[in-house]
Amino acid sequence: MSSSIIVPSTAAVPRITAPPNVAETAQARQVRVDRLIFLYLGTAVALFLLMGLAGLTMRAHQAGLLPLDATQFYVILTLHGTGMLAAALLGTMAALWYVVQPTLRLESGPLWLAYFLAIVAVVCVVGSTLIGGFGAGWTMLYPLPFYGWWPAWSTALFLLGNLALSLSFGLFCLVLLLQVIRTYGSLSQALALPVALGRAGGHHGQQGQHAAADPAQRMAIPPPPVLIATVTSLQGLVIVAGGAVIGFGLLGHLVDPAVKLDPLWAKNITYFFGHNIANITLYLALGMLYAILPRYAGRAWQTTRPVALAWLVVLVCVLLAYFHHLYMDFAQPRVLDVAGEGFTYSAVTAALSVTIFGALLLIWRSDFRWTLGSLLLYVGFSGWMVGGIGAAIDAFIPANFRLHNTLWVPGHFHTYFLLGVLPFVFGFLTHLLEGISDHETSRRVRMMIVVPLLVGGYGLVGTWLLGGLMGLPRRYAEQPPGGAALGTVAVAFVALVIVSLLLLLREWWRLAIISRLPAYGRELYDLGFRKVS
Amino acid sequence: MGDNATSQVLIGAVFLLLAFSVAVVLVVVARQARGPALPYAEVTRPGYALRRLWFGVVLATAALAVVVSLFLLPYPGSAQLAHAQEVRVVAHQFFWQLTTTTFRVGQSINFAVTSADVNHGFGLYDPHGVLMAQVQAMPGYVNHLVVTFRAPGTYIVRCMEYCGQLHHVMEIALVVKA
Repeated sequence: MSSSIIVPSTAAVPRITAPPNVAETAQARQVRVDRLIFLYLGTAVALFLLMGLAGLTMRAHQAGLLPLDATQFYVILTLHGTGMLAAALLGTMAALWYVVQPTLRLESGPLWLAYFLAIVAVVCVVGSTLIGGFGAGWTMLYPLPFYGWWPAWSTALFLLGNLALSLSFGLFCLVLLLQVIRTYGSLSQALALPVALGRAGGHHGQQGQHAAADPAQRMAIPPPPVLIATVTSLQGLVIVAGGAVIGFGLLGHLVDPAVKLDPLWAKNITYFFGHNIANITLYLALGMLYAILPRYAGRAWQTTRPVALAWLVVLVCVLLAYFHHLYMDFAQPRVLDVAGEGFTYSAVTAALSVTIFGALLLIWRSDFRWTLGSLLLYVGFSGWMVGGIGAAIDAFIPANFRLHNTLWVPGHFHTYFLLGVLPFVFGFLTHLLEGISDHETSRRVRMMIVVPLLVGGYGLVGTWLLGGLMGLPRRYAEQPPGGAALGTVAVAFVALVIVSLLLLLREWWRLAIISRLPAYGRELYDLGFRKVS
Repeated sequence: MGDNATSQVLIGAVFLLLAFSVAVVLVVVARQARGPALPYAEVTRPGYALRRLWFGVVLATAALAVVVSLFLLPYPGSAQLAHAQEVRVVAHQFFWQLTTTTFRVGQSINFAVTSADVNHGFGLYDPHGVLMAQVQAMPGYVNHLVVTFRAPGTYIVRCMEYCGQLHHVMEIALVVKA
């Protein structure tokens, strides 16, 4: 198998001299990073599966198959949303960190701290929901957290959990941003502004130059994963700041009810934070995709002028697209509604023209190496595109008038997550395991995993999208006419997804055993493993 | 299903067309990816030219969508508000309070919607169960939604914004007479 792999030239990846204060050997540092990445990915997988069970519980209840009190349903809904976000963040943070680490020489200490904060967040959220009964939904739209059946301490604990998750992600972004600026000399270089302005690079120009040891001479063009790391870490810091603003506002009201927030202002900040932190998981995953897909295509994906320009558009437009969540708040200034449409469609244009078209071009007539890992990444790519169709339609104001807060909304974002982020993260993990074990999954097992995932996944999201067209409201513990039947069909599709995931877990276990992963830690210090690059 | 369902049918058709197109593209690209590889420069030469065209098409479609939306906005203008009969709507956990629930066909109604506690959503369903209009009910704000009833029957208002444990039972019937 190994002899047939086409590996892009390593000269395309800048090799930057490690900072002089690194004491341990480069390989030992890589050891710690790899184990930490597996810890992140393993936790993400566990959370995805547990929160998936929570989701199945809700869908089964809506189908009339599983009795639940309404309060129990809404508590599970709250836990499911937040838990899935944590899973998506952990998985995609690890994926991006892994692919930029060889270029940026990141210290793993902050990543450990970020992991610890994420675990604290998960514990807080689980405690506030399953023990405290907090059920305001993961968006905690003011003033609902203060009008529920749950005690005040569970509101405080949930808020603290969200703050911890924000801190975790914020720390990740800060470390990434500081290191990328340190490596490339300036934010302008890290954002590939010279390339965007046409002053450097080009389609076949000065790509992937090595950064000079002398900071004054650094003229490196960041490869796409590093460019995306710059964009997402900048966005991440702004998002976390927004989350802190609304978080402390809510805490303030909790401590002193005389501290009141303007509901429209609160809704704006809440959706600024919520829309962006959910969306950014996709963009973190895309950073990984820009690094990993070329390995299977045997071609380099370079920071050309369109790539640099597109990611600048994404930097601004994705952040401000959040206005599309407030179209039905007629009190919102009209100009912000139309701006929300404009920013959304600008981001869509950038994504369609550059990343999506670029990926398809990369794969076209490439003798692409189809493995389970690369196939899952391709599934994720499909989920991102189809989820984007649902989102773009919902972002059209006249359509939103009929679709807002119907099942169309969970339909499109579950397409993004179940068929986008999850396959991206699972595909990345599979890529690592296939590489370390030097084994590939057989075509038969690949089909047994991917086909049920596609049929079950698209079938499941299809029930939501159809429900949305039928006008069925979202977040209903008990369904209006037609909802229960859709719920029953949805449960059948979930069964297919479960079959796929069980087979995937089995395949991971097989690959892990082959690579002697349980002894990984000991082996690595013997420098006996084969690094997956 | 009546005129109210036309929007949803159109949305569904557009979605299916685009999703099917994505599926076709992904399958074709995946199949083309098998077999001997072409040098990348031979792919990018026509590919980048095609991308310029594609970018133009996408940008034009997006711009057109924004322009078209400006003619189909659900937000009532001052003229519409002036000619509509105002009905005050106050949303509570977990019931609706309206100044009247009986209307006549052809009446233009300005639902002035607010909330006494948390965010709710005023979702109006026609006698066929089709969602025909909605607006958020926000504490401290009054949102105006203008609706003209074109057919008699019983219309249902459901809550469209999660508001607590009885969110799903918060509904009220409006009667429209000929």
